Amino acid sequence: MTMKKLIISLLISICLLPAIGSAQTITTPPGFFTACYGPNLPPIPAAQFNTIGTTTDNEVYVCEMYLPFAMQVGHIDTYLASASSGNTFNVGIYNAAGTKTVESGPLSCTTPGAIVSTLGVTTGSSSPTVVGPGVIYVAWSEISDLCQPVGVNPYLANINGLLNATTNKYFTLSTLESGSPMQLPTTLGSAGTPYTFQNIIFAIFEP
Amino acid sequence: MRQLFGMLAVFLALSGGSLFAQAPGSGPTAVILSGASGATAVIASGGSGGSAPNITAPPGFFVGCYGPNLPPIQSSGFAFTAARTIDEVYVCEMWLPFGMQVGHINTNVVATTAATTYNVGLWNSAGTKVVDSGPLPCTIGNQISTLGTTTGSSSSVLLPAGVYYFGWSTTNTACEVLGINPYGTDTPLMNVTTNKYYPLITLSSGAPMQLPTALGSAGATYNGQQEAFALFEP
Repeated sequence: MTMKKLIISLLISICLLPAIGSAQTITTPPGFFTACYGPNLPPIPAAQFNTIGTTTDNEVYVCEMYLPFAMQVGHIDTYLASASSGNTFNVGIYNAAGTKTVESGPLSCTTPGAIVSTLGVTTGSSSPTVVGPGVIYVAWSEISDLCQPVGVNPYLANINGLLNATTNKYFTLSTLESGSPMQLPTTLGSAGTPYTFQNIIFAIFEP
Repeated sequence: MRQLFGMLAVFLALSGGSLFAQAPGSGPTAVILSGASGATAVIASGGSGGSAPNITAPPGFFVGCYGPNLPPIQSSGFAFTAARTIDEVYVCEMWLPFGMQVGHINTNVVATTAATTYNVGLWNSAGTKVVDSGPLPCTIGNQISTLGTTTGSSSSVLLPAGVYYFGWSTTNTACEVLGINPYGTDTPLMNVTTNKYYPLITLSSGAPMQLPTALGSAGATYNGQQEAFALFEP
């Protein structure tokens, strides 16, 4: 082989190598992240868990978060603490551009306990979708305040203001969830009226 | 020929020099995740190129269950962890975003019990134990395992970034290690699709006492599960 062929082969080989640091994806367990907090279980003492409600039916609550890896989301795990027959709640993810990429579909509030959306199977859900790495937004909504999943209420009035002082990170949307089956808005759109007592749903996303 | 070398140089320049090792802290980092399949996945940290520097000497640490950085817990949120059953092992899944040489495990005992011990350790994503503190005495105060030196401990080990399981057990339910009781009756949520926060069916055993070499199956659900507060560092 001539030197010229050797160098051409080297160049081709280099081009075919995956770039160091390029993103691959978690497609099977183990691996998970929690809404608003990211990888690892948030260190929240049991006493600080709460039931999360809503002041306006179908209002959408959003938090910004950073996901340090890419993961194919196939399941969304939540826990219903306060049941109400016939009501539902939705959970979803928006990308950094504000476009919805993950939708749980309406999850039943009829029976308390663990409630799981299996994407692509649960009625109204999106297909399993790769999210991250990077900034994403997690959102949730309930069609009635009587439907209350488990969550936390981390920030009071002055902290809420701090979180949204320069850009919105923890806010409501001006667009409500809607449709049949119920769906979160397809885009984040603009922020709604500030809500001092906004809660964060405790939701786990995994392959 | 000169053109070919020129092309090679241009290509390497455009690739961000990622074919060469970076000094720690010198640029954006990539992290490596070991998936359950045994395949190694490379996950970008949001930066362009660069390789992951392993932490082999201080500074650097992570907390069992919660990962890098000190968890934002008010002092009232700390609890004195107590086992439900002697030698039962309580684990939680966690994600380590960087590689680190683990040489020390720091814990704190809050309720002493003579002649009893506790162990803390880590399993990799495949469920194989990679770190064991060895039996630490239930004597009030800080208890440090120096890996490779503390009796019954594993050797100091370089852990690549990825998914791990942190676990602990005690030889007496009255031996209480400083920890956190985070979830109470909400625990079932953690395990609804896959197990992330649960007891093992296999108990710690041996002399010196050792955590199980493999995670094995999950034991009976425990809504009062607590996690020891353990710092891992080089």
